[in-house]
Amino acid sequence: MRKLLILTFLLLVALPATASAQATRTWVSGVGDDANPCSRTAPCKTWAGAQPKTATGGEINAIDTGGFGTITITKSLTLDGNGTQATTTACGTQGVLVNAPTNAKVALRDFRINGCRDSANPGLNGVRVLSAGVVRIDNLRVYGFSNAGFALEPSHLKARVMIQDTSIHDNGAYGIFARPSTGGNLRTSVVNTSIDDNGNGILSSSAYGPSKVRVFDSVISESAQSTFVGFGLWSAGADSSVRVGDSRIVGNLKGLHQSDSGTMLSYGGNIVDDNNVDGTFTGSVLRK
Amino acid sequence: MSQPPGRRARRLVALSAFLLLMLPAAASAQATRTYVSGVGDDVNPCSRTAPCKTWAGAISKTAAGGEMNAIDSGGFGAVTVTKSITIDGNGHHSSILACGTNGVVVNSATAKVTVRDVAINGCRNAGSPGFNGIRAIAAKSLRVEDVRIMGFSIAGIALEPSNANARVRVHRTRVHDNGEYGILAKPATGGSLRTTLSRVRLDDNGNGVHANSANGASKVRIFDSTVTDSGTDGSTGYGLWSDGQTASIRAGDNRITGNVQGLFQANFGTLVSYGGNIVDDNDTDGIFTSSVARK
Repeated sequence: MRKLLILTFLLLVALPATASAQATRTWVSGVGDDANPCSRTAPCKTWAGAQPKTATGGEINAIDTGGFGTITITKSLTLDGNGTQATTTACGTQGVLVNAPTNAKVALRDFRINGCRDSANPGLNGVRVLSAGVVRIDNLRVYGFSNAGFALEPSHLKARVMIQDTSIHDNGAYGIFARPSTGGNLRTSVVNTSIDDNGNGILSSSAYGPSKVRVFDSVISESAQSTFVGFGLWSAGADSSVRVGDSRIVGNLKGLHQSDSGTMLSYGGNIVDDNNVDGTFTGSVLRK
Repeated sequence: MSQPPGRRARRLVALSAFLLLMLPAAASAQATRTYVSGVGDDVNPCSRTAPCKTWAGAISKTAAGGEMNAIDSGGFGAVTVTKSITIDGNGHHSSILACGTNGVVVNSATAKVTVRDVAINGCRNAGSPGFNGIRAIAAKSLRVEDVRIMGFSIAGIALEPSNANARVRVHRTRVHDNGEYGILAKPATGGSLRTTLSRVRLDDNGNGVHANSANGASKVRIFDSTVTDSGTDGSTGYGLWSDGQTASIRAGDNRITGNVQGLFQANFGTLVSYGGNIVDDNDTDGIFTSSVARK
């Protein structure tokens, strides 16, 4: 009996040590518990609960379907819900806030972020980027926020955001809001992404710092279902450029819009039609 | 329960010995399809009901030409392949964490190897990066489909066959965040290589695609792919780089943007356009050496 007690005691002492060691890969599960070490056999319940148990540069994976909550990311980190339905529900708040070192690499992959816009208490932004070297978005679905699906507002130089294979819909003001804060500049690429039913599709604004956006193989449609101006692509400011190839810009209040000397270049292959006003590109670049 | 402890122990020993004898027999029977699981164990026979835990544990129990599948999500570890095999992680998050090593090494001049639906992570941002995501030292044929490779210090995919006529196809694969190359196509002495890339997204690598014929001919075709943001970490940052007299890269309908230099040739390497390529917004765009008209 005494031996058993000693053994139990030893195990209890050992447990916190296990929990505090950070793993390169951790796990969340719909039936997990954030008191766990977030291992494959003892998973956590939320992204936020798993972050401190994940090494910088590591990744958090999902074992099974679940709602894994909102998170503020503060270091290089990958959230990867691949293989199951992983969700972040963000009623009344932000889904994922990225506020990491300016050289950090953050990736969000294969999950959905719901702002509950059709409920009484919508969230503000699906993903908001304040600081990170590279933010990589793959296969996300971001919908139902009152402001923007993606609000990209870095205040440091050389911030980059890549959005691929993603659906952005039903957000009140913007699908993608790319406007660096004072002292920042930003390069955003959007590939194979559908952006519809948002107040505006994509805004690139250089009001506080240079913003460059590339768009390929994407659909931007039905902007301005609410009271917003309803521009599909909107380039605002002399240091703002939007470059577009092989995309479909249809059914918006206005397809292409520039203000304050913003530029918008076509690589060709774009369908700009059936908008209340189609608008024009400011220039084009030939293919090679 | 009423037996004296001595006899019980003896029986246990006999049973253990029997089980131990059985184990190698179970392990040596190779199946055409084997399974891994996040909660498996490599002492198992890697069957559907008794899965293994790692690709490396399963491969010895898989027949040449067979395939390894995943039952559920998990990290299934690095593996060296020396026979024809398919690694297929479809349906789950099947991952290879290869910190400080290579992810998948292919080393057989007669093998046909397929890697499908896995994520290979070199942990470059976690302090002890792996070398290459997939490395072919020798291969008859290598097929990479729907794979994600990131975070290696050298290359996402390093193709360095020492055998002639190695053929590699990479489809719908994302290669990012690798220190020197997204894809390095440089046969070793005695080797030659033909590589086809389609719908590949290469970004944030030291260089995008590098064909090098220093030791043997290297031919690369690339279609419908994106090569972008090479060299943001201070590397040379070439999007497509053809180096050597028998190195060629043929390109159609690609987007080559945001690199330090989009197109680069050295030592009489050739770069041929099939048209439809967007080469823009690089610090230097560079040029194709020739073009082939469509029909």
